[in-house]
Amino acid sequence: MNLVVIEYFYNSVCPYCPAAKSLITKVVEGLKNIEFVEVNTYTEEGIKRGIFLNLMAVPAIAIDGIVKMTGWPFEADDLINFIDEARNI
Amino acid sequence: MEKIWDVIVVGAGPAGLTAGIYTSRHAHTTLLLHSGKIGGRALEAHRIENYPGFPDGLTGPKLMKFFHDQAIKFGTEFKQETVIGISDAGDYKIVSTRSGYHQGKTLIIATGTQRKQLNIPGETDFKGRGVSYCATCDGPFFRDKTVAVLGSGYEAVVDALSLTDIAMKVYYIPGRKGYSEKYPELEQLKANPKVEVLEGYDIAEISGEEVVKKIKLIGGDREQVDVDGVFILLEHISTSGILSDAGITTDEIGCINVDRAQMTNLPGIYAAGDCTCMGWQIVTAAGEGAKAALAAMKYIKKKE
Repeated sequence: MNLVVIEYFYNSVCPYCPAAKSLITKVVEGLKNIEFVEVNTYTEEGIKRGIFLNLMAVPAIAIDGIVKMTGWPFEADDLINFIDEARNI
Repeated sequence: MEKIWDVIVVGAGPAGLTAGIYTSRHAHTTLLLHSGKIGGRALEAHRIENYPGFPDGLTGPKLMKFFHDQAIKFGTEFKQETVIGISDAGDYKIVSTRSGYHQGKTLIIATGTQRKQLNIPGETDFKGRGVSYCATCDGPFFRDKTVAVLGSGYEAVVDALSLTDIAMKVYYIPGRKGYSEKYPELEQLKANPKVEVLEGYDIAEISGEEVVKKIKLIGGDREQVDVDGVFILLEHISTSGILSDAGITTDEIGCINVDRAQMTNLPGIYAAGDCTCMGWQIVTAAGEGAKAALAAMKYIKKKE
């Protein structure tokens, strides 16, 4: 089973980020071979990473370095599909 | 038997949190239902300098954390549940959520507002790919880029000003209806060399390829401008879609009608904060939350 890296982009003023994180946490809970990385876009390192991935909004999710979901709402099923897709590559 | 709360508060912005502080401090059992966004729209404020008691200013999230901590300290119970219906059963108010229902002797609605969309071509297509409704959240992604800010209210003016610290160029478009008020920050904005104010224009269309590239204008000679991002910061409308089903009256733009004690047209049901469209400030929302809480407690006492 391939390791899947999920990057969750957020910042402290984003009103929908807590809801996004709650959804991601529920989806990845119990899944194996997942590396979950939280990226705060209010840090220099975080914003650089976001800009490098051509991100333009938070909350956002990148899977294996590719932005898959941006803005709220996210659907859990979509996230599961993206994870499955990444595992099968 | 289901628990009957003294007060149910719907919404965790400044008004809802203040209501919770007041009622729980007075030993009234208080349930606060929220959507996970504790602090509401105040969370988006990168700097608050006009909230009394904080002369050096502070961030919205910091101020809201104080509110939240204070409500918890006095015993407000928080539950993250989406409200899907409100009904008035006379002595009890019933709040239905996706997880069940709750009963309260009184109800305080503090649901805030939602951002108004422009509903123009391209807006939905480029959401998150250059179209944003939160400058403080997404502004940092537009470092050294060109952005447009649409909106005539205080938030739009202040956010446009803050974007000048990040972006290379900021087009500020107050809209064809003009400015809501002559805010002091407006002069600072106009004097900023990075800012070009496009007065008398509205945005007719947002276009691009993968991401936003340009906006089409209406209202003057300028037909379009090239931009990397568009911040739509229009003044807000009430989120209160469930209100009409409950029989709670609103005005023509959806603001909840309340009396001087924050009571709606239904006895025992109060509204406070941005959903009443009065003030649009944290301090006024907090004030309304306190008034609603005091009135709700008085209502309970009278019923006993």
